[in-house]
Amino acid sequence: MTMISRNPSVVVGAMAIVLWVLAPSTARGQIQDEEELSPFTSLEITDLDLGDLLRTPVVESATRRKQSLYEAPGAMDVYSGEEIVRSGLTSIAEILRRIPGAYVMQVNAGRFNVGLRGVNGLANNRVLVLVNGRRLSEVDHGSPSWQSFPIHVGEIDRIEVLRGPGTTLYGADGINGVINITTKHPLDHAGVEGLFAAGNTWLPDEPNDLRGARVQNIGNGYASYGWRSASGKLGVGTSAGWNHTPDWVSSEAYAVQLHGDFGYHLGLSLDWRPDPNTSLFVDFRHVDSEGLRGASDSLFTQRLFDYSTEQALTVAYRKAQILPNVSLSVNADGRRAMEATKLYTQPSGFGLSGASPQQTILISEDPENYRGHVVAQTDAWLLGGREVVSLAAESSYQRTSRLFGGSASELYYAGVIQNETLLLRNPRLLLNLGLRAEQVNLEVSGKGQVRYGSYSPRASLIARLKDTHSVRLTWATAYRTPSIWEVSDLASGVSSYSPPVPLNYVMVSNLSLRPEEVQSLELGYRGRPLRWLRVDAAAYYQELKRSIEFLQAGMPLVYENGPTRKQAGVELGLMFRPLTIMGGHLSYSASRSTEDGSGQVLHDYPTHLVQIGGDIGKGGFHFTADFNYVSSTAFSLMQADPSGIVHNSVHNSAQTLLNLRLGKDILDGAAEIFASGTNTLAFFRGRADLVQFPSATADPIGAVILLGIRVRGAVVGGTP
Amino acid sequence: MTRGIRAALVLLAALSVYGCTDIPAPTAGGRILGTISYQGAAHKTMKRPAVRVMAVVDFPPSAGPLGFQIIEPGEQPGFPAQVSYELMGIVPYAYKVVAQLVDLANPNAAATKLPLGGYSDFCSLLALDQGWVQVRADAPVTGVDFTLYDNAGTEDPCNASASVCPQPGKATMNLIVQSSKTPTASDRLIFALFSTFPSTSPARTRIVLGSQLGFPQTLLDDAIAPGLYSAMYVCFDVGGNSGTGLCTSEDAYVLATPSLPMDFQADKILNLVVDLDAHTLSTQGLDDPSALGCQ
Repeated sequence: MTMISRNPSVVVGAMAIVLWVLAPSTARGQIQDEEELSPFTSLEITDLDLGDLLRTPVVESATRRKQSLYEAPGAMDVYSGEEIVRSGLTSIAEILRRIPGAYVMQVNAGRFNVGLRGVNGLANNRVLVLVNGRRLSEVDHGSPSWQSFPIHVGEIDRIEVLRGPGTTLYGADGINGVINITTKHPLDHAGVEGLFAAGNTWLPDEPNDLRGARVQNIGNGYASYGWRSASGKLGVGTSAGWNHTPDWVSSEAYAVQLHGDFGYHLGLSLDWRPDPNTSLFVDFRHVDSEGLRGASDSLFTQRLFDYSTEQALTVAYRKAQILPNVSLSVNADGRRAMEATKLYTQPSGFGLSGASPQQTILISEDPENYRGHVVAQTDAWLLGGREVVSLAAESSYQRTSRLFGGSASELYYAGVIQNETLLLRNPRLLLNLGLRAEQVNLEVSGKGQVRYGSYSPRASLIARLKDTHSVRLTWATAYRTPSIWEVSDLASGVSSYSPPVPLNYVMVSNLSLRPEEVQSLELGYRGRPLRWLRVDAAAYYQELKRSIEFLQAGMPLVYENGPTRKQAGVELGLMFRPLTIMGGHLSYSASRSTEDGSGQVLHDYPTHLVQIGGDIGKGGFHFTADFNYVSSTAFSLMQADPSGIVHNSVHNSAQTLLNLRLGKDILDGAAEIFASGTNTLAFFRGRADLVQFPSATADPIGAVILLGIRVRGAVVGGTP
Repeated sequence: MTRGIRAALVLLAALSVYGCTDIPAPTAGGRILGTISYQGAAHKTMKRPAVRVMAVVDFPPSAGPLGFQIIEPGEQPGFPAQVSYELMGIVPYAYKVVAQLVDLANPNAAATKLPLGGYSDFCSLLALDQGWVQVRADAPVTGVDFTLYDNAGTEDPCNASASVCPQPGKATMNLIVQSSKTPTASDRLIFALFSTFPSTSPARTRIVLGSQLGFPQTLLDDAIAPGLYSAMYVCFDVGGNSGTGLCTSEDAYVLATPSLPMDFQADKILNLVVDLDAHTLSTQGLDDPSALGCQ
């Protein structure tokens, strides 16, 4: 079936574009005295101290060009590298709990799903995670493998978060938000940096045979060295890091030596800025990780190991002023990722046959994933900078092979046009329009192919009342096309039967899935009502149509399009620093989701999310505290295994997390020693039996206590 | 910027892709649909009752199912008296469809105590040559209805002792099981007849509850397909904890593979004796049904 999309939102978006095209040029006469907006003169990111978040950060993720946070066409958050390290949190996913409205769902010791704006799930792929503006590998159900992330928190320069639909710029998977993690560049961080932390995971109330035990935690750390040439134009960096997250599952006979999640990564980067307008950044990363997931019940015991490796090469070139007031940026990246999963099962008797023979099955999955991605964007500042037009072209090809004898591929290409017009000068009134047209072709070997076309429009009106206050109204429609994993078969690998009996399929393809769609309307305020207080508030209403989910509890799992969800919520972020030595932050969100038609209130996303924290520093001491509260959730979580066990309808009681960190500067501030502690939760785990996804609780069951040292930018060689 | 330039830019972006979709229609096949009935009360003592429907390629299953569905009360108001099910994504092949009433809050519950049923009844489920559901790729299989019965399905009326008179074209087995044991209500007698052996799929199976058991016990099956059968398995399952599978050392059982296969002839009655104490199987000869008053 071939058809042209007739979605109302597309029509509205198209009308917005048509209005913009037809708008009389005289409208711009009202802003003839407006100050030049070109970033070439006033908004260089390097001119700002991003460590002090009470200043106005410059952000890049909202439009893929630098602009003031106050004028970004959407709700945004920025977290500096220093703030992240000071938090004491060593998992990037846990840091994201600071985002207003973010639900960081811990699936297992080192496994997280990050949700925004009322949507989350096991195969969370509605929040797009980028590293240096590039997509991560999508082997793991389209969501990032946080446990094998190729970056240590100490290597992060900043994190920008775009809440709400980000599809206009970034395409599928960003329908509820975009998280862009930027690594430190050697030209800005010459010298030696490092962090090492290790300690123990203490489990006083641990429910199985590790009760009362202390689990060795070899912690996490990284070391980096950046060399900068005497001219300051060339930098070369290298880094290495590791991370260990102990699990609570007893190791037994199949144990890997470091049970839990363990990974290491290596990084090499080249940073070249021959002149103020030209930059080339090349980044190579290798990551290697292994993890253990355990599950057991009376009918079935299993140990599931994941091994993954990934190599990623990113090349980012930017040339400002290729023509007067025109800039060009080209980004390319290539990735290769392998994920091997070994599942050892030891049935103690199938449910219907109490005395079936004991057997051990080895199930192996070895998909291999390649991805290449190119984006080019030009930005033109016209009419004295009162109008900015951006054109971008993007293409990506991904191929997953060895998918149980089959393969799948995804090719997409897209065009993006953005326009920002300064309608009024005082107060500054900006109209930001954007449209993405995208074509995605998916092909699954032996099953066929499917082609999705979509348009993602965005319109945002931003009023900057004073330098430190802005109000915005944003409407956007976003699409998420089904991923390879949602339309592919996934077999258990090794069948217990001989041919011609079919394989035990864990998941079967559904090429009939239609793309998800989010329509969102947001009203936001961002400002500094007091010198020491920054406020970010947003209220939104959105409809998620045709959400792709497992509607039926069973096996093989089949993704289907579900009913429309209506969602509304408020998000509040406060950042305050009344004294130089003391500051804090508060994030709060409330949301409500209902199912269209039935009106049933959905509880698969926490109604209330709270994060509150503070820091104080004096006399070389630094103390940081973070407290996180998540109200209870209840949702249907499908997880089936080939033996006929299905886990669903999980209920998580309210969760509280407390993280404390105390640091002391040494060596004249060149280094810092610190101690940190955080409680651990038993997400999706019952106290009685540690299975992977029981109908469970989320009670604190212990604590992770780490001691460490951090080295800040000590220059060894190179030029500071 | 002139309108013309703007229009050109918009057109450029719009034409950079061509936004149409080509999504295949859903496949109709690979589905089994039916209704499961249950008139018992086992669910009332369960904390989280659910019906688990499965598609298996042998029974008793020697490995996991190739498809299953979990149905909980909230999904269907008629639960568990009348439950509709739909197994999706089933690869075309021949399956047995079996269902069990389970307690999701108590996965340790003894499987042999839970209600169970299969298409089209418990006896067809156990029989090698009956009860198969052929799944197709082009159309769903509908009307695969059956009933759950307590005690792992053994209370299905089809499992009751049959007549000594063979059904038309079939043979009757008249088996006498001897033992010095004294059965209790929790014990069971498991019987399986194999056309080929070794195999995990018996041609005929019967289970007698302890409450209906007394040695010597007569076991009648009047619907045995004529032919040669190479093995018989009879187990006195102490405590009723061996499912429909192999018994263990706490039980008394005989796995007999006679040198001459058992010859079941159409419209004849084959008399057999199993001695659980002596671990022997003996053939007592054929009877003519007419001599026993059969029509």
